[in-house]
Amino acid sequence: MKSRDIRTIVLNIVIVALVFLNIVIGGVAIDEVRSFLRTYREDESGFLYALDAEDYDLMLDYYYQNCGSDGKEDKKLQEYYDIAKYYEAAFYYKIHMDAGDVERAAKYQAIMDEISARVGEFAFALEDIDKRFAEY
Amino acid sequence: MKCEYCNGTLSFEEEYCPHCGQRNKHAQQHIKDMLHYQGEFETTKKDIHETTKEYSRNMVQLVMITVLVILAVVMIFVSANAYSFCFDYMDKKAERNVEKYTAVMDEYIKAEDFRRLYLFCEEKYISGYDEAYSHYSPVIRAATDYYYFCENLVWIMESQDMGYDSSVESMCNYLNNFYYCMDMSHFDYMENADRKENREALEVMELYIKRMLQSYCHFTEEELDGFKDLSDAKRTVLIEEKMGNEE
Repeated sequence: MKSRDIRTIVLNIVIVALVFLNIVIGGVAIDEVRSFLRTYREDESGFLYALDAEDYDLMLDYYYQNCGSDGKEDKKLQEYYDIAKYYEAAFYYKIHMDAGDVERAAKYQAIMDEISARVGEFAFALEDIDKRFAEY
Repeated sequence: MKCEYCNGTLSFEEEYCPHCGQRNKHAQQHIKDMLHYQGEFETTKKDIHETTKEYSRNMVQLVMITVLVILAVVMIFVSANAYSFCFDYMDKKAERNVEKYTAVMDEYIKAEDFRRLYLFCEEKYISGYDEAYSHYSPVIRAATDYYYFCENLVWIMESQDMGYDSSVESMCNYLNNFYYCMDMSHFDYMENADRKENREALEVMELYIKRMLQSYCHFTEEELDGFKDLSDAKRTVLIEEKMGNEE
């Protein structure tokens, strides 16, 4: 085999190795950037699990996680979000009512009333939340 | 040249004389030489062609290797600094949108919705240390502590599996950090941090925290008087005692 043939083969092997190396490094780089930009969203099964476990503060965590601050709510999960928001409002309603701050309590009462008026099959959860905060 | 038989004029390449038809001996040698030289020429031409082709191929390979090595170095650099690049991008975005974002933050402060204020700042990478947001620094940092204080309090209320003791400890840490933010002297180095609006927002947050401690940890109003002025250790002990009693 001529030396120039060997040189060509060696160079081709180097090229193939570099292509693989680039694919691996590229994958890592893309993954790094994606992991930064990725937003974790809880799906319906997560909310349902929390609801079954009567873990309303977990639902609130999931709600914050999914909606953040912008309030863009997924309609499919609206009923679960309503329970989470009801729990949050009930949390604040109690502290202001206990302190006799009717004005602030009314703000949270309004949120609770609005949610109560539209809640469907999960009305039992709202009752459970009311009961729970009455006990604290 | 002249034909050696008839002395007629004939060219060097003519194998036979056009006048007498005799064989031209010089032409035979000439043709033989020409064939030989042409063969050598063709061989040399082929060699040059092949060598050039080989060098071109190697050159292309070397260029490809160079490009791939540069690409690998760039990607390693990007990979190693991905977070830094993304943070810088988000930081610059937050700086560009300072008016828009502070308007939203004001809305949350006005609505006393400090948990969403924290979430908003978190999403937009607005830090209490950013120069563009230095005038909101105490509120941003206090909102962070407020958010996690509430989160831990709820965990304690609901007795989550995170561990009761660690939640109480964590809640106390966030509460102490919150009271640290209430001391504006800690923000002297931040431009315009000691603003009336910030003080008011912090007071509202403190009011909420006190009410949470009253409702959910069963502190009395008297017990919470001067809570802000207590040392971190004393506050922690008081809360742990209360929570211990609750257990």
